[in-house]
Amino acid sequence: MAFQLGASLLEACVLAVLARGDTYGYILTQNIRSIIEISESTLYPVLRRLQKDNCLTTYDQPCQGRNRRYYQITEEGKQRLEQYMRDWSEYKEKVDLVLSGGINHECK
Amino acid sequence: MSASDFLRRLDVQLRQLPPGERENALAYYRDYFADAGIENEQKVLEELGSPEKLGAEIVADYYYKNGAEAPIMYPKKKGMPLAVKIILGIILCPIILILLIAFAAVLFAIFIIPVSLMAGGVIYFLGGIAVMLINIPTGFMVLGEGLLAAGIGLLLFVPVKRLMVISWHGIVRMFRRLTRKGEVQ
Repeated sequence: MAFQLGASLLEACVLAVLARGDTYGYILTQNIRSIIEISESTLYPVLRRLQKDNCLTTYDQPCQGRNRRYYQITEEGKQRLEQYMRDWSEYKEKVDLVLSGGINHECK
Repeated sequence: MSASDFLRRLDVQLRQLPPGERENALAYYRDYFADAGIENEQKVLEELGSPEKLGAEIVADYYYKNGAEAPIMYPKKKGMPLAVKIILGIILCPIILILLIAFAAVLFAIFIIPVSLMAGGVIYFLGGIAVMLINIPTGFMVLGEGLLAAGIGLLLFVPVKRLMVISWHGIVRMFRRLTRKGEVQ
């Protein structure tokens, strides 16, 4: 595929997945990877940034003798997700317009 | 490379992060390997690529958002801040000036020795000729003393001149270093 997800879109995807339920790093990555090609290493910086911006929180759950870290979306995260969805919608429209020839320049 | 190799190399790269952040990142990838399972370890390793590159990315990302000084990109200049250096320079200026004058005086005193020996020698030489009109042996003596003095002066002149030249170059170099933009060494 020719296009790459930028940082904001990655954040949006992460928030969208978390909005459907808490999950941990591996599953989160695999979820997104099942649809879009991203590297396994891509998500950690994104998660870190979202956490710093208070869009998600973490908690640990013991599992098979170790602690598994779960990510949970916050209120602020939900709001940011909504903003991203609006921005994306607008962006999609504009790109479609240009691609489908909505703009006409005649040679004068 | 194994997962533990990867994690070890990542750990090294992440030393630039504060300890909490470093532990956070390592725990994430440690968990990631654990959750992927042994059967997927090689696949994950391939995907993750170089631990050094990943580490550098994580470090850069952390400092970028923070706005703090990233240690790898902006090494702190050793020494005092510029303002302190400027104030120090201003305070030291008269002191340096006085030291320069003292140094110049000493150099002048040294320089004077061969010059005065030569000058005095010439005068004695001439005087000796005059004395000869009165008393020849005494005249010769004075003439001889004059020659001796002039000779010693001439001998000393070469090394002293060398000393003057070296001192001058040294002062010029020091002056240039002091007035170089921004830094007082």
